[in-house]
Amino acid sequence: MLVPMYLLGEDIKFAVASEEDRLRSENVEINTTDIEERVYELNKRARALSAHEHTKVYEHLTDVTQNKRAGISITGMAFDQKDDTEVVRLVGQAINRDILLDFRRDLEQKQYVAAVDLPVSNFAQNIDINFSITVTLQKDNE
Amino acid sequence: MSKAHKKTKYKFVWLTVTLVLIFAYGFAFWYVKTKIEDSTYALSSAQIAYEQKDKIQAALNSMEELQPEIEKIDSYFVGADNVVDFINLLEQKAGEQGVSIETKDVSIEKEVDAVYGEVLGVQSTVSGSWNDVMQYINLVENLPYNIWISSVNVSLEGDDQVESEVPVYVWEVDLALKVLKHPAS
Repeated sequence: MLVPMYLLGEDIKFAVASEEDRLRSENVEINTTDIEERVYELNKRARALSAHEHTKVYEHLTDVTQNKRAGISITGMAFDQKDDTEVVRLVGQAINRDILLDFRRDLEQKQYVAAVDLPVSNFAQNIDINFSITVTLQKDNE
Repeated sequence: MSKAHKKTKYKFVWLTVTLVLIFAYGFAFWYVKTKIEDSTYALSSAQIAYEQKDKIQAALNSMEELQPEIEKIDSYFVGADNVVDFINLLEQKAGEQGVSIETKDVSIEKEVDAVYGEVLGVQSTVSGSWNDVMQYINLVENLPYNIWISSVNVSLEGDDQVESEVPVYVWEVDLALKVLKHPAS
């Protein structure tokens, strides 16, 4: 009784082992060349793309200039991105102090603005004030 | 030899043969059991290999289906040998927008923590009316690349009033932009 069982087991083992070897050799070839490398490369590219966000310079500069109060004229603007911080500097002229203060308040209320720096030295003059304002933008201004 | 002694001798032989047979059968049983266990193990390994093959095939199929998206991801990078094409594109877009452009500097920066590729930096000076220079900035920011502006300096240059009675102010923009680029091969 043992002999047929032995022969049967041996036969199954041999057949299964040879099939397994064939499958494994196919898999190894596909694994290394096609999938792992491609997924790894894709991941690297996706991570590189997500590391940098599009800036919205046009959107911010036009919003500031189009929605400014009468009595404010802007003669220069600068945008700088450094260490994940975006800063807009505005240079211009205000007809008086009140208008300049209102302009600062308007800027502070914008959703994409994190902070507005208007040095007090800008208020030395009473009329026709040449001002310089630094606006720090929110990091995630959606 | 006495009859009793002979009987004892037969009993001893019979006992020995019986013991040997029992041990032989036990060994044969153990050996066949081991072989069957080996076969079972090989069978489960083969099943795992089959499942792996199915999963790998599914992953390969997904890769094929994702090919358009993969190509799209690649297109957000300036090609390794397409720097000149990219600069030409910036200058062509300036012409289309009606602003004058002068490319001042082109450089390749390798970010310290970059996981892939390089950063191509382009500095240029653009001149034109307020609307035109702003539209150019808008256009550049929305080019189909992973592009961002690192600095802009907008200043009023003067007016273009030559024969016209209405002054047309000319604005000058110093523009520094960066774009991701495939690494040089």
